[in-house]
Amino acid sequence: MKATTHTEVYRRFDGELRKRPLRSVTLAWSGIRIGFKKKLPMLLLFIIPAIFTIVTGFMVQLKFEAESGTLTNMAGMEPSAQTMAMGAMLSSQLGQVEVLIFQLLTNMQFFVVLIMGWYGSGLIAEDRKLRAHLLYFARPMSRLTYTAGKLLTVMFWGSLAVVAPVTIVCSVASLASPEWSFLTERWDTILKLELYAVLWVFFHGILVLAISSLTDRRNRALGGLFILYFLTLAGSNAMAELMSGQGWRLLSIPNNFQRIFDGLFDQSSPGIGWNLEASLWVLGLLTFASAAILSRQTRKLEVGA
Amino acid sequence: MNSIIQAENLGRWYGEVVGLGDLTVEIEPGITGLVGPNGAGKSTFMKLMVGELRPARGQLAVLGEVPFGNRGLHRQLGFCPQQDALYEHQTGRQFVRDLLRLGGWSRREADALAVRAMERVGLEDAMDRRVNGYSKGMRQRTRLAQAIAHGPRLVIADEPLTGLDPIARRQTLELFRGLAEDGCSVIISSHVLHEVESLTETMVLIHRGRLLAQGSVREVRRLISRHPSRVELVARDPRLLATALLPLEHVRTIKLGTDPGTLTVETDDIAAFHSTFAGVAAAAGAGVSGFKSDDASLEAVFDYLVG
Amino acid sequence: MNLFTALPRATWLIFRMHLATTATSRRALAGILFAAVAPLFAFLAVKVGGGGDMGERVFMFLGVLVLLQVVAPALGVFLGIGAIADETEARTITYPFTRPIPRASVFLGRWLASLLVLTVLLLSSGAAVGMITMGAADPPAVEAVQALVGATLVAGVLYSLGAAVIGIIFKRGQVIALGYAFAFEVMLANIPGSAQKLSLQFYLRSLFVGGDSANWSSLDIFQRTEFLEPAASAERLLVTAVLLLAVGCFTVTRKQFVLSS
Repeated sequence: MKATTHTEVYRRFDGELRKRPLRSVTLAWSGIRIGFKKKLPMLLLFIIPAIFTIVTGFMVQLKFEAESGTLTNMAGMEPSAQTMAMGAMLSSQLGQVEVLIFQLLTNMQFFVVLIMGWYGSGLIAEDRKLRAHLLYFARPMSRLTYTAGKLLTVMFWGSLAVVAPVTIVCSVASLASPEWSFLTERWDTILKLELYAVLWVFFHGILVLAISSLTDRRNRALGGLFILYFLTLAGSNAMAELMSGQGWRLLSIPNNFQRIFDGLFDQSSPGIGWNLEASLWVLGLLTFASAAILSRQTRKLEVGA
Repeated sequence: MNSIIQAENLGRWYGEVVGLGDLTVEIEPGITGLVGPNGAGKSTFMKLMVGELRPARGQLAVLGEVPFGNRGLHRQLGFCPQQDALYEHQTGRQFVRDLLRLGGWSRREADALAVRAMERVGLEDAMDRRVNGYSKGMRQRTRLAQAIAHGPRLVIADEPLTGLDPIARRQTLELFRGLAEDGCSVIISSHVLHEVESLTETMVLIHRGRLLAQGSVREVRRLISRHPSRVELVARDPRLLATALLPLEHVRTIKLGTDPGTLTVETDDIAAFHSTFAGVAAAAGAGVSGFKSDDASLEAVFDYLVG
Repeated sequence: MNLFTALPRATWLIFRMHLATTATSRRALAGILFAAVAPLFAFLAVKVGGGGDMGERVFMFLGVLVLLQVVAPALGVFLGIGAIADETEARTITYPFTRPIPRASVFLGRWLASLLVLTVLLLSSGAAVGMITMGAADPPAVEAVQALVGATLVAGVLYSLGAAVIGIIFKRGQVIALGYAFAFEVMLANIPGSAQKLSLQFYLRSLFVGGDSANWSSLDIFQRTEFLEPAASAERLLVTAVLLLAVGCFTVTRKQFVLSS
């Protein structure tokens, strides 16, 4: 038998390899592109946060208009004392921008969990199911790169649902405020809001990934996320009411984020009276536990289990 | 009407992807091979035949009836799907038995039929083991067992030979022959042409969702006039043989091969060539030592048709 | 065999075929842990946390906040969603659909198998919460425990049925079912106004509190709401269940399940 080779298939590589390839970004981008392919789920998942954002943006606009008197002076006439009072009342009713944004995040938090669950719960679970990790780890890719790639993917979607609305509402506030005063005078509030949003997305992202790494079914991971989220929320609230002990509320992720918000903006929410450090400890421990789970599970994936 | 399958302008789309374009075909009782490359529409056609899908256009009658949701028809049908899916928690015997029970058999009857079917596919030793421990070939045969267990009039098997080792493959082909001898019609799909060819002469060739050809391989070959038949010859003196063959009216071209003593003849009428070749070769005294004419095989026909 | 005799027979066969699998599935095992949470909280509240003198309050809070609002919908969704979706995902649906049985029987049989498991879990959970709190001072009335367990079981029926139907219609139904149960329902049921009447929770709460808003007002974290009489509420829930059943049967009969090879 004559031996033949198919030399034309194996072309010589004449490009230049990157010295520091951003593999995690490549991995994340591939995950994000897959998410963009499914248009209908994207529409269904983002429609409610979009509505909430528009409504909040409108309220912020209304607040600044009421403050500046333009709302009550639409006909071009000088505002009367009565209309000025109305504007002031409306402005005070609408409250501070950061509170409106927090209300926005609270109102849509379940939808955001749903969004991050939808896009994140399959990221590792489906790799395991399809044995795709064998392909990933056959390349020069570390566990950290792999995890970072997946985390960036889920954080991208979370950011669209959390960071983007916060940015939009802050932009509306900046544009609506007289002489861009919200931007120039309260830039620290904007920074804190963005920081809070990123922290929110990072925490939920790592949690979703940790749960995803524990199973090989996307649906199970999604279910696990919801059980953890809602059971701790409802259970801790019920127990806190029953035992008159606010410490129970530390079991709930949303309550801890509310405490962080209160700490950042000097607010005081009813039923949230514990130290800020306690919430930071709880969320820190959960983050550490999630990272430990991810480390262990990706180690298993790396060795082909 | 004797046809078991009648499809007229049959079409089925998956969104924008055409599964089956415009298929008009009639299939007679017996064993029929449904062949075509991957993505040709074989599985879609089969899913339409068993009523798993509804046509997007055209008509389809299986044993004279519309298949989708037709419980009466499903009694007479056995379907061996392509996907490697079974109820993993069950044993092979339970799997076949429970599906038989859905067909109306009592528990005892169903169990007896299940055992018989498992024996028929050569799984009698493994039938009481859970299917999640089966090899790929055993799982394939279990799927086949559930398709034949209730004695259907028509068995439709989607790629039934995939994943089988050569012995199991031979046994499965034997099983299909046995079913046909018992009066059961069989339609099997495959893209491995020689396997189907070893089982039946009757083919339906599908490509890109359309019927490409139908009938026995040789009949189809005869219909393809634009492609001459090719005969490969080995002779002591190929030039002499070429000189003798060239004047024949039906010989179109002769090429001398790169290997010593070989030549390839293309003829427009293979039957006439066969009848005249021996005389011409003997008269020329070219010392013919090899004669090979395999382009009437299904593979070659398929190559011609698909291009 | 006509449809009306074939349907119950095939439903029964499918139910039997899948009952053991459903009961021993990972989902059901996770469900046991999940269902144990409400009794665990009740135990902690009554025996450990000093709530031993307020049995009724513990019962009301855990009954409504945990059992009715979280456990029943979650278990309903997780166990119900798989009725058809599991078969589609496992690509085994071809087998029952190419047998001489009504397609609706596959949906009904599998949903009933899930429902039985779900009922056992919710019944145990509700009864355990009732028993623990009845052992404390100021215990809840037996009628209240019965009403809560009844409402929880009805919740299980409706959420599991809804999830099963969603699982037929949508490829990734679980996220929609979860979104409905925990995003829309939570939003609709807990905002003041008529929007509450668009949620299942409103009718389930009506069934539980029996039209007596005083009962509800003991849950001081919720706003006062005018509930329906239990009979009226049960009527609407029954109509919803029948509609869901009809939609499920119709859809599964007409739908084409495109499976990858």
